[in-house]
Amino acid sequence: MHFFKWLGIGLILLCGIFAGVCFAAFERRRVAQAEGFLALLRLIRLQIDCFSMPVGHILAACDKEVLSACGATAVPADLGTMLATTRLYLSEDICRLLREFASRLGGSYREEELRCCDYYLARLAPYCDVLRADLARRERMALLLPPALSVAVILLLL
Amino acid sequence: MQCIVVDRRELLPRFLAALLPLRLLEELERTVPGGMFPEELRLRRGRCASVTVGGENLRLATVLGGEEMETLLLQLCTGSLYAHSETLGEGYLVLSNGVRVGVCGHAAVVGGKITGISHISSFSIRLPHKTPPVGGEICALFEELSHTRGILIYAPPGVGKTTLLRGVAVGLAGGAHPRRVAVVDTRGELGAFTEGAELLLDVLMGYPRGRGIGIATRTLSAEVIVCDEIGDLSEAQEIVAAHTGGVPLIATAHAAGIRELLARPGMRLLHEARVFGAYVGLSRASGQFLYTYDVTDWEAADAFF
Repeated sequence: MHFFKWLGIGLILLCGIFAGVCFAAFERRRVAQAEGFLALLRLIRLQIDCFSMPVGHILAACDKEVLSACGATAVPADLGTMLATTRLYLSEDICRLLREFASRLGGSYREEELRCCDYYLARLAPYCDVLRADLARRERMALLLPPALSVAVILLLL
Repeated sequence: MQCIVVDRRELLPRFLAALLPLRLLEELERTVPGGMFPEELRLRRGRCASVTVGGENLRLATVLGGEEMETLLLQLCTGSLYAHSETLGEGYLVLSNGVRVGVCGHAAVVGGKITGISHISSFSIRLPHKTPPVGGEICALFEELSHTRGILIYAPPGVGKTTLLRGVAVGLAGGAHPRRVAVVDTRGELGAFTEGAELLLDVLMGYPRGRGIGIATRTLSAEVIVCDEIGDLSEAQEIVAAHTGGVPLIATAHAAGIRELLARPGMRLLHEARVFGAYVGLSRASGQFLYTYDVTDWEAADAFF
């Protein structure tokens, strides 16, 4: 009987720790993805500004690490496809922002494209800054809260 | 070199057919006579589309709306309008497979330069076709001129100057005694060559004609330069500079006759510099690739000035 009690306590605690680790990884993943998209938008802007390179070529020539940080598993044909097929960890507002950008990208001439990139960069960059600044705190919360809840559950059950 | 083939079982290149509305494709199938191929397809905002077959314009019932035209423009630009703003300002798009699309609409002009086009009103899609080998006569004429003087081929639009020029470039760059041929392909149409690894061809795709001819002379050590649609005075000066470098030029120009050709700006400069040893007027029966040549040598052309 004691054995099963301790086994149960151990399992609940393990679940709490595992959940904490997962949540912490989620937070890190979210920051990495936000920064990945920020880097990608900057790259797109640069390639349009310097070379007027078509979007498809930009994505094809993009650093694999940047694409991987954004969550893409393969080189996408266009940004819209990439957003549709990638799991996004970002807030709903930012996801909508990125989809808006993807739908507008490529549809106008160079100056307008650059202004469009600047507009969306200006809205994405502060979000990334906040996430980055907050990461340590959120990681701590993620690592501590679930195990603490597990302990609370254990105490309630005992 | 990529082969532009409009298969005898298909009326349009596959990549283009994928962009066009289904109702238009179906009407094309019904309208184009069996065994013939469209030379040009015209799409107009709010007006009937048309197709040119065997030199004849056939009206289609399909009418494209404004949104369809704008969507088609973006698709033709592979989703990146800004990447084609330079050529759009000149009134055309070069698609990746060498198909040229003329584009017109409302131009935005700043300082005399077209900075953008909106409210697209029409597309004129020129469709290259695989043809029997042509240009042998021009190659033979070039031989007669001892490969030191150029040839200018002139004709009104739609006769087949570009097709002929392609054949000439391939003829000179291949065969038992190939020459180093530089092709200044400003509009991306000459690049629709047959795949020939044996051809001694250097293609300057998208280069302005004058600059391309200069580069071909100075850095590519071309033995002959091929260029389509020469016209203005600034190009004439670059061409003369290239000619003094000893590189003959085979080119085309729009003109209905020799008088009209020689009256064009820059032609006097080219003629006096003896850039061209012969001027060749071109004509062709509709639907066939049998050319008729009207050759005027330099001495005879001199009488027109």
